[in-house]
Amino acid sequence: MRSPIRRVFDVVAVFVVAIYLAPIYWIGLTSIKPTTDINSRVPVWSFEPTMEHYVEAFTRFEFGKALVNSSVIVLSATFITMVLALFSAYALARMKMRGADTLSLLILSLRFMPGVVIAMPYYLMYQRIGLVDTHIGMIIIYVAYGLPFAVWLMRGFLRDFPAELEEAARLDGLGWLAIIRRIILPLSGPGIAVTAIFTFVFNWNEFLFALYITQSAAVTLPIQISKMIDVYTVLWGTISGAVVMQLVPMVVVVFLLQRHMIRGLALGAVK
Amino acid sequence: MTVQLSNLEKRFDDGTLAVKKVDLEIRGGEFFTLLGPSGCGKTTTLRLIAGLEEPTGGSVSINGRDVTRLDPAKRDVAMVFQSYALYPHMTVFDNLTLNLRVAGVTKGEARTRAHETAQLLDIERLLDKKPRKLSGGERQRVALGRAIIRQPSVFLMDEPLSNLDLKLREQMRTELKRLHQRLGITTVYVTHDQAEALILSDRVAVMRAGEVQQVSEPSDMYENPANLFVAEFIGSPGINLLQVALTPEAVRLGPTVLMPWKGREQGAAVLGARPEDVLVVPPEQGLLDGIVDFLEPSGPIVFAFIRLENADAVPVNRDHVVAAIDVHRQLDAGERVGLRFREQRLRLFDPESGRCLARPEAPKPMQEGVA
Repeated sequence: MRSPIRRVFDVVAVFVVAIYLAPIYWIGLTSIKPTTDINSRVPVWSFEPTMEHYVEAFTRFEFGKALVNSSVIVLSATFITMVLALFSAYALARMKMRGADTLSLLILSLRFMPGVVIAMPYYLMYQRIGLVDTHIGMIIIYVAYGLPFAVWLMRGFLRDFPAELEEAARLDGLGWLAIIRRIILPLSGPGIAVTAIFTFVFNWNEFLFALYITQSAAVTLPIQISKMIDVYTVLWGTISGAVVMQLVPMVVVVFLLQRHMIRGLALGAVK
Repeated sequence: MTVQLSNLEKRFDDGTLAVKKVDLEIRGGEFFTLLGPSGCGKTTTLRLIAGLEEPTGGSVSINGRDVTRLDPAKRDVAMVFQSYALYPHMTVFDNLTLNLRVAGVTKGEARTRAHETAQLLDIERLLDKKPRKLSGGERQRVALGRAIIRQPSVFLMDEPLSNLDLKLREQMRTELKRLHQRLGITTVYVTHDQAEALILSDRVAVMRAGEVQQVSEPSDMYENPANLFVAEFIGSPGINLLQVALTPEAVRLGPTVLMPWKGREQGAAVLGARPEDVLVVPPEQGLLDGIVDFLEPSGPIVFAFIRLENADAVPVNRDHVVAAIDVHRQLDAGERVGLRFREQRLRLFDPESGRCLARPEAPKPMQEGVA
């Protein structure tokens, strides 16, 4: 039998999870409620489920285009960020370099800067070189803004990587590029997974830069959803449907990668 | 294939001088051991030979070729790491053959050599397994195999047996010796275990604080330590050390004359006597008096820990004098005994520098390295 204290903890845990899940549950519910039931003063618990809000998100609000834009921008940005972060982090973690620690902290400190401070300069620069409302413009911003944190996170993982494995590889004749590709990459699943999740989720939800830079051609999901609120109405049902659709890829990504997060680093390499 | 270290020095970025002016010449086909306590610079020296560290002074030559600035892979050396450092995501076969494939050896040739190596080490049935499925001893063999398969000029081994339990360590020790005799490849071996060093090696270099103390064959290292540090480090239980005085004609402990002395040095000295050179005799026949405190049986011999009764007797390194006696000899704890020494085997050391003092009447201790 579990001890009474454990039971108290269990109850608290369930309560906390419930608090986190309640809004998501409510959004899911709202997204399939008929509009009249959504607007009723007393919450309606039994209703005729409908897909009309989902359809409306696609037909009236070009949700499909925003979904494609977000996917292209975020996946490209995450991939580029990960490649650059892996190499920079490896250099900062392993190569003997004066001030590597200071440099890492300096890189991370770039992230302390509020985004709103650089959003306007980005807009002004982009206006001159024609990158406003383009995919490539958004990818550049997301890579630049996401890279410091990714580098910092990856550096921590790579520093814990057993140095003797790399040394064995050096003696086996592998150059540093081959060491990264054949030794570090296959064994850094957890570190890469964690960093990729953080980068992906941050970019997927990013609002501020997208608000400044995108208008229509490169508009991303969070911006498109915000357009469902205008001065006259708030389309709760449509918003809920769109939010559910925005949540799904994130949940999928986290579920796909969490297996790698749990898997231990370099099992069996060192006693 | 010889390895020559000249004036080798390594200062780390934080300022510590790990290796100080090391000069060593390792002969072709030799099993050479770097021995010393942790932090003495033996592993750093090995890593300098491997090329995993860059020296801040001096040079490394392998077979007459200066490799000081050369990449580890171009030195034709193979290393066995303390942690084995097997690639966990690859099978044993891939672990063994990675270096061959990088070097451009064909698949068929690599396969043949992997099977030959596996046969030599009796690990053929493990070739398709991943390292985490192997026991410690099996991982050790795979790590050895990865070094052997390359047929390098020099093997470098960094405490390869220290992660194994005692029984397995003894077994692998024999195996290493057999492999070395069979392959005849120059081997540089690092250990802090003096027994391991004496058993395996053709020659041993004892290091301390980045400096080589003595280079000798194992038996000579034991018989003729160059200084106090080596004398204490080699042998288990360790050598007995007593404070004595050198007078013009005798070595004295208080009023007792231990043996004649014709050397130049006078004044305080430290006398060293191995446990087997301490003779336990009836009290009336002894030069020194003592009481047996306790006995440590160790197979064919028993180590008697004897407390000296003489007022002037000041043991340097421990409270007891240890004598090795035959297991069949009757001796009880609490018994009063006399002690004598095998005079020719005693060594005298300078208490300041620790240097072994030459004895005019005894054969001069042989010294090859710097004292």
